[in-house]
Amino acid sequence: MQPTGRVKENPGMEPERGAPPAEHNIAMWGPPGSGKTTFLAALTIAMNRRQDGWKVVGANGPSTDALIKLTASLATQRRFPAATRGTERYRWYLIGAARERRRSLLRRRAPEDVRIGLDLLDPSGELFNQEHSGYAGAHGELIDNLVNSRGIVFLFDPVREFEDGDAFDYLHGVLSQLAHRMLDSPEFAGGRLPHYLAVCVTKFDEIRVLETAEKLRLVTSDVADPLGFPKVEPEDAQELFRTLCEVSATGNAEMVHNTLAQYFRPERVRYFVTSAIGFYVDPLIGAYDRDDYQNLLPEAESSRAVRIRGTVHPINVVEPLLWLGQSLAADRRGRSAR
Amino acid sequence: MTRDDAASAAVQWALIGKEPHGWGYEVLECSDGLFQREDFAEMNQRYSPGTPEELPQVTVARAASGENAHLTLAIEEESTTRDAGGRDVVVTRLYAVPYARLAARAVSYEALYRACAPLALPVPGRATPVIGLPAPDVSPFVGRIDDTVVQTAALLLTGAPVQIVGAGGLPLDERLRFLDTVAAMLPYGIRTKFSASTWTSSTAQHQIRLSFTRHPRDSAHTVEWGRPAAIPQQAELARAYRQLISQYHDAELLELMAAETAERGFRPPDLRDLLAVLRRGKGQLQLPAALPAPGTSTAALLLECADALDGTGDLEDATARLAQATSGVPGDADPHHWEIISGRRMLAPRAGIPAKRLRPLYKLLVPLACGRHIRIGQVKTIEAVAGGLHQPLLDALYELRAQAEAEAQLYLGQRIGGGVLRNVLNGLGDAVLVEVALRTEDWTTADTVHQALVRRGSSGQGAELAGALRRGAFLAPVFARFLDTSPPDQRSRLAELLRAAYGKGPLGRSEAEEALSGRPDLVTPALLGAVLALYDGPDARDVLVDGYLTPLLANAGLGEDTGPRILARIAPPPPAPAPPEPATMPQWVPGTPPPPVPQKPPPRPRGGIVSRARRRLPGGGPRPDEGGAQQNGPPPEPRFSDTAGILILFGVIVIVIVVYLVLLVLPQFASP
Repeated sequence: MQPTGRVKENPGMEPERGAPPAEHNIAMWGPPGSGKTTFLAALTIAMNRRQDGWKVVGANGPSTDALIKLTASLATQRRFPAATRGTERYRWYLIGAARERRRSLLRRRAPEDVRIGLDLLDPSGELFNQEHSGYAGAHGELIDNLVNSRGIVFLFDPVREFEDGDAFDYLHGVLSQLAHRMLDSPEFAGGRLPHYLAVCVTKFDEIRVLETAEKLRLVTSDVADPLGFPKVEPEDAQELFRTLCEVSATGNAEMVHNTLAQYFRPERVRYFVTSAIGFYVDPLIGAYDRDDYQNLLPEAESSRAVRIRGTVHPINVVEPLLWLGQSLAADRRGRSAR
Repeated sequence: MTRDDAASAAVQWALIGKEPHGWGYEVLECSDGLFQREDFAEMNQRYSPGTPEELPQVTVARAASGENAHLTLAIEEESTTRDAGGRDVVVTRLYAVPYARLAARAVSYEALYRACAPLALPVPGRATPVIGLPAPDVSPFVGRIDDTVVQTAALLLTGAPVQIVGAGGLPLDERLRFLDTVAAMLPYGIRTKFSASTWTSSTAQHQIRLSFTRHPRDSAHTVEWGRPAAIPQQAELARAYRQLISQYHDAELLELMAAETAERGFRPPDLRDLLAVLRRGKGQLQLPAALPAPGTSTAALLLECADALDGTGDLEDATARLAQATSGVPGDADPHHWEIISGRRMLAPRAGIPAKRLRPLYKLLVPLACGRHIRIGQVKTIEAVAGGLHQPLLDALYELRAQAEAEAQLYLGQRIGGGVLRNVLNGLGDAVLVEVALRTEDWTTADTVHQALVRRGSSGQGAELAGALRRGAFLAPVFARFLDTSPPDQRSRLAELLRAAYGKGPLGRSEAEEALSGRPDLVTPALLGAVLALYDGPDARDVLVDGYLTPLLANAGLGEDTGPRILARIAPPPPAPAPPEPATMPQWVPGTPPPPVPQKPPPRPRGGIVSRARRRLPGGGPRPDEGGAQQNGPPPEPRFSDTAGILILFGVIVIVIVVYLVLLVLPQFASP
């Protein structure tokens, strides 16, 4: 069941000109370079490729502008969007295909949009580590924002974790402070946060991540997928996450998995294996080629810059946001009914 | 450059960006002055204009307060650096110039930009260059004051941010000039609470008071470029300001505002004061009866306050008069004032008086008692005289922390606890903390510093931290002083600091020597023990000689003739030729470009992360920077000389030290 297009006040958030406030506050969480902004930049492309009627629309001028720019950087320029400075906030709507409403006694009622409002917070990754964030005030604002949000997209970059192993540093401190701030909230039941958490294992297109999944025999393919992309079923995503945590450079990523389990209610956590750019699709073949699937290339042999090689086919980018939006809407309807 | 007169000012600076192929933005380099790396990081975060669309952009803001007040100028620019994700890195050049120097000549933001922009960063040696300051001159602004400028200045007085939209095509210089002209319409002192940017992201959650942007937000006043609108009816102060300035000629107003250099902000009392200045400028001001008569001494006003505290007189009124007389500017401490304050027990708790009445008075009394700088000894004296640091007094002292020395700040932070202590610690650099620990007579303070430094080390701030700790012999004398009955405790704390500086795992040869050679005169047996316990190379004796004994003897002042001869006796043999470097496999670093891929990708490593990790990391390997014996070749052959006496003396010293250390370390291993 999809939520309807109702909008309501959003306490603690500044209303924007020209549009009502978005309905669900969702925060992106991850260290610098983990792909938070890229994930959002891939959203329009992902919606477009689904061809199931869903689309993303800006809720106000600044957010629409940002959506256009982010999408263009990935789809047209084939470059990753610039690293976020400070904290950016985007208000977007996920709008599904219109559905017929039941006819009233006297007249036929107009079709109703299925609309999920997203108030997306995209902080620079440095803020998640107080030791690196510098300004305690900015860090405090981040905690305020997280207290007000009810959905979190947590990005786990397994390649970075394998090399640097610092995901725990960018999780534990902020999570402890968030829990401390919510101690007195009735929603902090059973010592767990009320947030819905989408854990996204990123860079599935990267050779080492895919091969780890293959080695664990977690990779399947969908016969209905015209591109024939490999995929990890949702029920297996957690196992891949847990395994990737075991090979952290510092050995601390195991604590990431355990910390998430400690702080969030299990029924409110879902795991996704994602890629913002997807696998390379040769235009001549038009499908996934197991021997030629890397979609990220150096700009030139001597250059450290990278470019996206082919068209972008995001994997599991819409799904986490849709799940969060739908879960939060259902939660809110449940509270209203009580 | 060495100019240091009224027409010049020293510039502190920081270069902010990412290391090539690094992940996050950080302070890459900074000057060695009042502001430390973390101070610059804070300035950069606090006044971030958001993700830039076009570059360059300029943001002006402020840092610190009181005597340390500075105006800051941040220039964001493109760079050729790429980060770990292959993205372009924006570099920020951040400059901080003492407010007092700028205020004395009413230096405009544009002049500050012109002076700082040519300064290339980093400056070698972390030096603070000196810039020339132009003579005060309001004439450039006279022709620029139009309705848009006036409306923007008036709207700022509502206290809410103001954004300028519809000026996308305006060049950077023009935008900066506009911000500068608006600021010139307000008292110069307001710059100590002001921030402005030539561009802010419309989706950013920023704290900049005045900026150009693309889209309006409801949380700020919007001025459309070239189309000034009315000031809201409810903005009474802003309307009154606009009405008052209409009575002035442009140059007259600009000069009046340039002369108002006392620090002030955007709170209603500040703004009412501004209106008073404007009225006074036109002879409209009637002094309120509460103001002290000219010539009334501070001592007399102090006595009035003391009477009011004792129940005879209006405390609020007396406090206001004292504030007026002292102008809120701390001067030298006067013993007579302290006699009144302590004799009349003015700082003691007053049960019947609300804290909000006491706090403002205490904020005046403390500077009168302490002078310009609040030192730890003074805080403790105040504590004793007041019968304890009760809450209003503690609050007032904390609010005055900008004038307090670091140890006093730490002491107050400890007393308040929680996040306040953390804030205080965040504001103090590694070197300052080490200095505090070395000086303090209070074990709690030393212990707090120790814990903070250990935490900083675990968060990966090793390089700078290592330098600071080295210069303080890793706090060895502090532990020797406070923990003299427990050498094992000293050693374990020193080991924590060594790990904070150099990371986990054993120390390398160069690290072990470095740890001892920073201040050999402060090295204690416990530090020797801690270093040698963490150093697992076979040449510990050489570490002691090269890292400890040699610098110790070199700085011992043994005489021009004797010293070098003794040092020559214990000098190490010439280094053996370095072994050829082992061939290594190039390794792909994530976030940097993978090996060039032509039409088909190269043969890929099989097995994924899990199997590679198991191959590479069977149980943890040695740290890559560690050399030990292999890096430095075989241990040198012992050398004999005909000066047998010196050699025997040296041998005895070494044996004594080694025996002592064995006795120190052995119980650790022997215990279950």
